[in-house]
Amino acid sequence: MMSLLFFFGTAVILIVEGRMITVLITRGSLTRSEEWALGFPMGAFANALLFFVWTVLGVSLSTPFVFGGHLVILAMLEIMRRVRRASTPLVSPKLTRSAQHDVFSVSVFSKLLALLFALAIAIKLFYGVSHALMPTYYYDSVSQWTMRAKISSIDQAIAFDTDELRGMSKPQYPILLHSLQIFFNLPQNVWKDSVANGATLLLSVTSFFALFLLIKRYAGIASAVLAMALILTIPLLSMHLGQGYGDIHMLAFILLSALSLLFALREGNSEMLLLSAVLISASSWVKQEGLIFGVLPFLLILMMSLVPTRFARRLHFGGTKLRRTALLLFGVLPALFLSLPWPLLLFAKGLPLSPHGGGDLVLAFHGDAVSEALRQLFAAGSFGVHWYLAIMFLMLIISMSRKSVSAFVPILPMFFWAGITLLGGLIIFLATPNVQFLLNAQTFCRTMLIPLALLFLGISIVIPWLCAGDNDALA
Amino acid sequence: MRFTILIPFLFASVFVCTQVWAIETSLLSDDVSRFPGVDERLIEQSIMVQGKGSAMRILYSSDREISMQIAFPETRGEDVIFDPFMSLKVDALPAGTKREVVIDLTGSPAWDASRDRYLLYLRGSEGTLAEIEDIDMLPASLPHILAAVFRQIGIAEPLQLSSINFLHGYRALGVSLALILGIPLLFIGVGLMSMAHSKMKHGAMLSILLFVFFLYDARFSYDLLTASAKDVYGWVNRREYRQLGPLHRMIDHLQHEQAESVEPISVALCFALDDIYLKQFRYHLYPIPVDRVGQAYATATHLLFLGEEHALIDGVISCSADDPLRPAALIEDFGEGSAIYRFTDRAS
Repeated sequence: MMSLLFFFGTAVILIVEGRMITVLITRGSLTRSEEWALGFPMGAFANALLFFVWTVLGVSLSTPFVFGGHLVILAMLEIMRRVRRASTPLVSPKLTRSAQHDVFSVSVFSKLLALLFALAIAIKLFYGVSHALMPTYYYDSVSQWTMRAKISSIDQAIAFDTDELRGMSKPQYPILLHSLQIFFNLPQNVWKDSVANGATLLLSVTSFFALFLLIKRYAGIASAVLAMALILTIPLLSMHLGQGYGDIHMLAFILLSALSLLFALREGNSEMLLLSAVLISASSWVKQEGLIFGVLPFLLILMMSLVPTRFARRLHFGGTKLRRTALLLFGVLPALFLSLPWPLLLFAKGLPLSPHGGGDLVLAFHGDAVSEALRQLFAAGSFGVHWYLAIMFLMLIISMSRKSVSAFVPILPMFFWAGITLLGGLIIFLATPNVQFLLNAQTFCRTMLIPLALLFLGISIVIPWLCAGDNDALA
Repeated sequence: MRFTILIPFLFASVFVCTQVWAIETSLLSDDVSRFPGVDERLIEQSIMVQGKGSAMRILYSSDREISMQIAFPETRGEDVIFDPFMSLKVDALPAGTKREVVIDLTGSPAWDASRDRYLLYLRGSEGTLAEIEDIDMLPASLPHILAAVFRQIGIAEPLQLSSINFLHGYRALGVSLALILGIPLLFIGVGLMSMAHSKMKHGAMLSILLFVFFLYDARFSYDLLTASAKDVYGWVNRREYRQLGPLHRMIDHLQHEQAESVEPISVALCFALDDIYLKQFRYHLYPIPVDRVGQAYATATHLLFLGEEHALIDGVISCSADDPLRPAALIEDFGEGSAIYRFTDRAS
């Protein structure tokens, strides 16, 4: 009972802290429910940064120092909130609420559809919750992720073991998940496996809940339900709802960031751009892939907005109301500032950024692996029929919006992001020594979750609009 | 119209007919979620069987109980490979002369009517004298093939350690269900796109997309629900999780022992199973040191057997003949070759 109380008490600290950070960043752009929903993911990132600073300063990761650190952060946030409220009134208008009518209230069929989607999601969540509370199970969890968190918790310092004498490997992994599991276990008497896995489950659930609310605001309830159903029912992602290697958390941060970026570009809202930059940096603190599939595409989109070429204008990136200085100050710089410290620490410690060594960068096309990539995407169980659905939905969108292309133009950055992560992923797994992780089926499918989920997010925003015949509503 | 309601019954009766005469088989993928226990030393012989059919009738003679495994080989380049998870297994075939067994091949998702090559393994305990007298293939009729489709799609996704990286997916007649649903979906989509009536085609396409989505999701959701029920039941009632067997009960015992003990304990693990068992012990018991016998035997305070035969003889024990005997006391036997011993000499 006490264990449960401590668990929720710890969660409340991160939720409150994260919510305060969100409020400071977005300055009234979000509703209260959206701010609270983002509280836990943002709090988890703040916690990772605190652990990082304590690690760099050599401060012990013991209960007084960690909780003391959070108290200081909370106090600073409160002071900043008061100072900001006194000096600068809110200048940013609330984000536009989707004008789309609630399609689920239209007909019995729509209601039935919503019910079926909800049932599909509920089953995945049931599997996730029941298996998150099971003992830590997977190979890398008991040797790299949760194991490293446990060792670090007992050491009261982040472990950087370069040998496997104590049973942990991959010291270069970023620490968002480790620090979250350690933070939740600090008030417990001993390391509790269920507490560690419960903390990461909470991060998954709150991240996707925040995503749901943000999509609802951006494009309406139909888009939000459709996006959740399409993304959470990807068979491989269902597995990760229970336990995993951080892929689902990195993905959730990328999706949240991408959606915030759409808000920022559509409405010229620099606060949402800052939120997007912070969220994308958070993805790189979950896994290093966050740098490649999150931070890099984010910067690329902003660069294209900064240099308004004809191509960028056509893709709507150049059409944003955001000024160049805003793109730099609220987008590029915060993303770089917040995502580079971990790689720099690794560099300072003499650890390679990639856990697979420097050979990762050698380019050579492995044509013999193409068939395996296609098999994994289209003829195995990891994605079921979801890649076919994505292709068909895209065809449907193109067909439905022939007369009014403007309907989905604001979503193009999302499709662009999906496209470059898909291309980047294929290059990594077909043209570098990482081909081994395609052939032994270790990482390829997990990586391909990112472009597929981004595609579904874009599709879910557009489809209900097109179905409602409101083709110009997004423009 | 009134006869259409008979269709499901027709399928059901066809399905039952194909099942009753064949011996019960299991897929090797079913074994993955079970604790392997003590590995019985078996002798093995393999035969390549040629011929098309939905069942294999085997005439055999054996002086002891034997088991059979049928693998479905494929040629990739110059190699002949097979997916062990899709192999069929028949256990406990009785001893006797000229005994007949009929193995329904459609129980494997790798089977399809055009297949004409199988790899038959015969296994028995050491010293078994067994002989295959005759093998013939029973032809596949249309009802057999139809029933096989339903049966194979009904085979559950094997949820295992690798499921965090990839899922095998469902197959029917050797073809992926994703492909079976996806390729027609693409053709229908392209066909509808070329139609003139835009409202109708968009509505039809959306309906088909949703139908395919829910169809596949329903199949996968069923597996998730049954896996959840099975895993939760095993954990709550037996404190066992999937193939880990008694591992967590052993961990509980050692953690309790460490809490009671003044001296730090350290563990040597005697096992020949997958590396995951060692990693599991190391994570859950940390900071109690756990290592393989080869690294930790001399210094360990406890010896753990996992899926290995063990016996205390004259108060001493070792993991293998290569290790020196050490005096020990049995703390608890968890069955299936799993036990905890405490060394009673002072750890050197």
